[in-house]
Amino acid sequence: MDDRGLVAAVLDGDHDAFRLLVEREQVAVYRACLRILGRPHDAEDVAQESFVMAYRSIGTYRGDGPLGGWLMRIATRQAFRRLGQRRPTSELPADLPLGAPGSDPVAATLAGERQREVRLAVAGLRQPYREVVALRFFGEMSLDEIAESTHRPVNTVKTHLRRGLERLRPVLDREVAA
Amino acid sequence: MTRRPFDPDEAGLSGRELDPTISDLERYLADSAAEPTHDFADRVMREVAAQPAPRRGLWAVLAGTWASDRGRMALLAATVAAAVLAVVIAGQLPNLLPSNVGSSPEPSVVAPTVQPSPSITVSPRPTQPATESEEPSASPSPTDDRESPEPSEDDDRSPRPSPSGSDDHSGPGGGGDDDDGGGNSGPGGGGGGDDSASPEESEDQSGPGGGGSGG
Repeated sequence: MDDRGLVAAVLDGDHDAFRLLVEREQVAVYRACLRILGRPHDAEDVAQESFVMAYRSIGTYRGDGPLGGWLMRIATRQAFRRLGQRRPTSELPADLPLGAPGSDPVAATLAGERQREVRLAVAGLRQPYREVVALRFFGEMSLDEIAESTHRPVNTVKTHLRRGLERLRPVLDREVAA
Repeated sequence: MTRRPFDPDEAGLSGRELDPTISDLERYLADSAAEPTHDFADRVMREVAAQPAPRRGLWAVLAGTWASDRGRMALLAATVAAAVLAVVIAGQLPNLLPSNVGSSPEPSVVAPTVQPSPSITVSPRPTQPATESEEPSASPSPTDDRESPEPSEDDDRSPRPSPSGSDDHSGPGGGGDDDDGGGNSGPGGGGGGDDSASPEESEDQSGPGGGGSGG
């Protein structure tokens, strides 16, 4: 079922069609939320919120881009919003390293700290650079998909991505030096 | 593991100065390639089942906006702003209406402008005795025609007529008020300036007019 047919079925009250969408996109949406928030529990919470929000407003989907990209935009916005609602001090205790736990606790701690630096550096970008970098790396979308989802020309998306990476570089270099 | 490893060429990155940044991001993606819990889809669908049916078009936009806290605040702010705008527009209606309605009070206001002029005619009275003193000399009416000074004195006393002229000027004096009124009526428009000035003149002139009548 293509995106338009899926949306039409959902609008007609077919919940199974929406389940198809959830099962198809849940991993990508969850990962994007996890990469922004750094906490599995928060990531699942925000991913669930994003699906519910997408269900409520699925009538606004115009079909001029991939439905997954439309959903990913909702999820990344929600995740950054949740990240902004956190207290700065609450970032530290639960900032455990993502991925398989290593045997070396020192290396795991350093990896967790680096992950946090990358996450906060991306979150600290200004728009539209933050959105493009997040969609490309955290959401693993192609530049064409980002261009269609954000209604921007591909060259504009490329420029935003390049400038976003250029702005990330001094921040991450400074963190490494520190 | 990433689904799409980043290729610097896709963003038109020619140099290698961004390679450390990209490798940082790629490493982060590899470390965070987790999956949600097994019952994630079931939980989402339970939540979706509790939601009202999605809507199309404008209602979908409003419902989607209302779904989030920030969207709800935005809608409330927009509603308040619309209400304030409506109140402001309604508050300006009285300023717009008198320019059309004020034409009817104006004739009633013109009459008080005439009333101050009799009070001004009192000033010619002292001038009249002077003319009476001259009347004996003026009895030879031909001399009046001969003596040019008398008419010249009359001309010097032309300040007397000037009060009568002031009667005329009382109009322009009112015109001064007209200016004020016109200044206020400026926004009302040129043609409506006289009309809109009249209510304000009525307030200004009713004071002097009342004083005149009281005198």
